[in-house]
Amino acid sequence: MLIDKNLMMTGDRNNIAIEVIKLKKYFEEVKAVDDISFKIRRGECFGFLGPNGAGKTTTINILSCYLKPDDGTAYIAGFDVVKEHKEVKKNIGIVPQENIFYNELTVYENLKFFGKMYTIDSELLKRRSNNLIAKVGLEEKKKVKAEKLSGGMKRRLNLIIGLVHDPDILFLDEPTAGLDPQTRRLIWDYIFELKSRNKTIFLTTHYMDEADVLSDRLAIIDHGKIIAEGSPEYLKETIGRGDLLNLKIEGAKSTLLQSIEELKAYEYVLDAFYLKEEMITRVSAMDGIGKIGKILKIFTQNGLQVVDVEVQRNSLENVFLALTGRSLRE
Amino acid sequence: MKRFLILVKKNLLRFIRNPKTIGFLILIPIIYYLLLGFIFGGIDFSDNTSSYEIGWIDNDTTRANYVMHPNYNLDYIYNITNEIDGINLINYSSIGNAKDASLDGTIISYVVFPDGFESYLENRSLVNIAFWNNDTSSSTNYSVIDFYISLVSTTANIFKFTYIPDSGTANTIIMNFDEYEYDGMLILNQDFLYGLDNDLNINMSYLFRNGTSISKNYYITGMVLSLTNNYFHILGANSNITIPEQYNYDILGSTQFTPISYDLYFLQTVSPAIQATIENIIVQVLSAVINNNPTEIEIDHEKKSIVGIVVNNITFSAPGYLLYGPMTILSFALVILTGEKKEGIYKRLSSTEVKNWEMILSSIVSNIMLVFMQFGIGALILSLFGWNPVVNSVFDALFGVILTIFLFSFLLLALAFAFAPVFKDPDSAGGGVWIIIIPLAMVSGIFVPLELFGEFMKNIAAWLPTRFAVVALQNILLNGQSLFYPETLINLGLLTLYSTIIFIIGIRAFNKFKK
Repeated sequence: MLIDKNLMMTGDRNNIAIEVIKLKKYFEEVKAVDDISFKIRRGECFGFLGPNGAGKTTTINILSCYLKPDDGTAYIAGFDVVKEHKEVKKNIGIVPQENIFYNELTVYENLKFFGKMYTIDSELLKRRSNNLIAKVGLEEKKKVKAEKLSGGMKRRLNLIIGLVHDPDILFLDEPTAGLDPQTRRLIWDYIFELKSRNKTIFLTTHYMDEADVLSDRLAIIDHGKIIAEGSPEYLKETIGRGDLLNLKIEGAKSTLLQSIEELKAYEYVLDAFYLKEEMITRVSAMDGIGKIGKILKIFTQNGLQVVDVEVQRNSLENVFLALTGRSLRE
Repeated sequence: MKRFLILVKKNLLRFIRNPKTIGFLILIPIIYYLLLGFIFGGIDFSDNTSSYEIGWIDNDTTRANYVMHPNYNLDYIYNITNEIDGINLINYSSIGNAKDASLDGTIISYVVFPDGFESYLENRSLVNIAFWNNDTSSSTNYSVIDFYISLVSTTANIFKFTYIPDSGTANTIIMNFDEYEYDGMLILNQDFLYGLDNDLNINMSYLFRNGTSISKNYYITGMVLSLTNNYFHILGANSNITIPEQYNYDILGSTQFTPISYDLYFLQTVSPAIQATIENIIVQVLSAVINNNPTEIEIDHEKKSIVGIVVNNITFSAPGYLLYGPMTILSFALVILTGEKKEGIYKRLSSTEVKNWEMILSSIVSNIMLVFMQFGIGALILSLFGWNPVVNSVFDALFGVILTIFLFSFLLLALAFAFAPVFKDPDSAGGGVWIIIIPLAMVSGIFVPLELFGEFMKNIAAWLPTRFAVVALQNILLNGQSLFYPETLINLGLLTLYSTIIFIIGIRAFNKFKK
């Protein structure tokens, strides 16, 4: 397992929103969650990535007290998810992947109903509901039955229901799945705002750009096990095919080939070769962008002239592919 | 508690806002009340059932002449009736004994013949005709007296003629016909003898008692004309003697004889269909045996209830119909329970502070409220169709009905919790639930009276929880019994026991299913 040690947390429990220790959940022969551990700081947005069936939803179900773990434990805001349901539920808000609310109730009635399930004072609930409705642009639909809303509006309603009791910790399960770019952007903005208010966010998503943009830290889970954990930058710098550099170099071909061989000796260079047809030299290197000066220097030292440089940044998609052998959508 | 009330309110709001569920819970039962209920309530399955045990009480001290009129003898009638398929007669010495036998379940009905029955039949066995000669003409060839004597002697076993001596007496009789026991008056019209002498077509009048059947009138006039024409033609007359329509009419102001009446008693719990079957058999047999000639002796009968009043079809069937309505809540609840699971509602709710018992109890309470709403509408509709519950005390009945409906709803909701994990999703629940509802409704007497069933099915029905509710509600709304009547209490107790057991099993299964 690859872990960014710089970001590992120790000690101060008050600063930790979610702590998962050796958590296990088996469904007969299937190891849905297999001995996973991680910590999430308060105010952090933690991306939880994995292919379908990797164990993401089971983890959320355990953390939200819906399922009991077979072994291990987890703490939410310092409360045990097995023994202290009531306190845990007060601190968390769930935004499920599917739109879960009552179609026969209006937008406002849904918020009011779910708010009342947390025994929130009526006046406060009214204020908060109106605020949330305004934040996601549903003012005009406040008195409209949920079943009459468009797909994007339903998604927004689904989101704010999870926030109506103003929880410190939010579980967002695919919050923008299937949404148009405009609504997606609106939800991203709202998530940024939540982060700015020091809310802890546990995010699962299929969109790598979303995970990249929103997450402070990521964990990649596959077959119930966490196989990598760290910031998006760290993972992109350390896993996958690295950054791709396409170099157009002028000079003697034999010198070029010799320089390529020289380049390959460096640890951060994953691969380097000359593409005869395109007449370019392709270099694949971890943190290739950071190391671009060093790479170019090898060619120029040998009397070659680099006339053009094209860079393709390593992506989380590549990281994921490298780790799991499949893309996130498979 | 506040949260629980909000959950109940939410459930009701969802119900009210959803036209499909309103249609499902209210309209479908109404259609069933009006259609299926009536259809099944009226079907006669008697061909397939065992015999009905019927009591026979002969209170008559008079005896008809057995040689002359064996068919007027009640023992003879008893034997003939007892040979009819589907009827088993049992003789009882008194109404009291028969009533006891019906209350302990030996018989379901009994027939009581009043004193004077046989002598009435004997008296009414001959057609009683006043004969008045209104002809002032005379003849040397024909004699009215001789004709009258011939008529009397040749029809002695059918007609009883009385000679009316003068027009004054005849008019008095016609004016006060009800004071006499005549069925009609035969009148020789003016110029009867003159017509005979001159071979003219002549006529007679036959005035009859109001209410005489066409067939009886036709028979009498036919007989009289045949005998008359025959008599005078033998003597050489060529006249055609008729009773024209204008001389054949009912006597103004006369009324039908008051027929003798026997009583036919039924237990209130015997369905109208079975009552009609038994009543038809008795009436048909008596009519066929007694009136095996066209004299048409008028006999009547009165239908009575062994205890209380005679109930109409809708009143008899109402307890079953009223229980059918709530049965649809089973389907409704199952669809909601499986639907909420499928939609993830339980999952989302369980992430809130709501407690499991609040979810379960709110579901029970809101559904029971719907049942009572539906029951109220059902009762109103049935009232419009003549439902007239037989109750001794309105308070008792109200309390009993509320308790029975509550326990019945609880049973159905327990079944819904138990079967939700079986059907898993709302589509299969919506269809599959009828596998439960139909047998529970059909075999418990909700639609089809249990009396129509064979012994095997009756034994099965006796152990169905829905049957307990039917019996309890019948006792309360049909037999006018108090809630504390032992049979009612036992049935409600069994209903509670079944509901509790199914509820415990159901909740365990449902809680697992929810996850």
